[in-house]
Amino acid sequence: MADKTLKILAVCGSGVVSSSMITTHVKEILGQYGIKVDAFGLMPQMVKSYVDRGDVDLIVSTTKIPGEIDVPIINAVALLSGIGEDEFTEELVSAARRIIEEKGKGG
Amino acid sequence: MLDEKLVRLGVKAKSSKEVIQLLGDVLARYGYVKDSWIQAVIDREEAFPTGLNMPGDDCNIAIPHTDVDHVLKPGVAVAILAHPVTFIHMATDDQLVPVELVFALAISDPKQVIDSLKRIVTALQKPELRQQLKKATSPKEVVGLLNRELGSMSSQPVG
Repeated sequence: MADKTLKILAVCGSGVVSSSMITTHVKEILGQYGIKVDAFGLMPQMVKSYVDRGDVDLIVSTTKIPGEIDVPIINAVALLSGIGEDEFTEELVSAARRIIEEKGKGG
Repeated sequence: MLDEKLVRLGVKAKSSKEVIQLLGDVLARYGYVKDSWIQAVIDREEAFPTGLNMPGDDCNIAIPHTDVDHVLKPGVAVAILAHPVTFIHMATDDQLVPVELVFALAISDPKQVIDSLKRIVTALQKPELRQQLKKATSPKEVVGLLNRELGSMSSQPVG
């Protein structure tokens, strides 16, 4: 049985303020689709080394992230401005479903 | 977190830096942040800008803030600008946004205040609220409008 909890990194400049706001939103959105989320905030410069260690499924971010990152990154500015929030939700949910499906296949 | 003393109306500033300086001075004077907060926010705004284009592209906002190290207690300083100043849009290097409402966030422990903060930012997505803030004639009115948004969604006491 695959692990259905999605591990999400929320990234913002300070690693705490905007990322905490988007973390709550993301949990609410995915919760409505029955997807459990384990999320926490991080500063952009720490993301690459963190992702390279594995154990991250998806990144939501309000900043650019340096380096080549191997997991999908979704721009989450829409959650703060309200512009393009529906598109963000759509992108988030479809990415989350795809990842969970792949996890299932991988056993 | 919201305090009339931290609200400035009709602010005439020529740049985002001037607004940050003004709000930083206010926050420092009332013991919310250390003096180092101002420079930290100015530097951070260059690397990680906080301008936000809002629905309707009218009365855009910025939410300058920085690391918890520079903060003494949680607060939000508000500047309603007489004329827009240019901020850079969040998550870009070069997209400019004319901003009329600036919310300088002094966040010490995000867990304590993130709910209120999220509610304020979400409420600001409503063009009516931004128009009301722009037309407000006193700091009391500004705090009242924002508290109404907090209160309408929760009856939790705010520390």
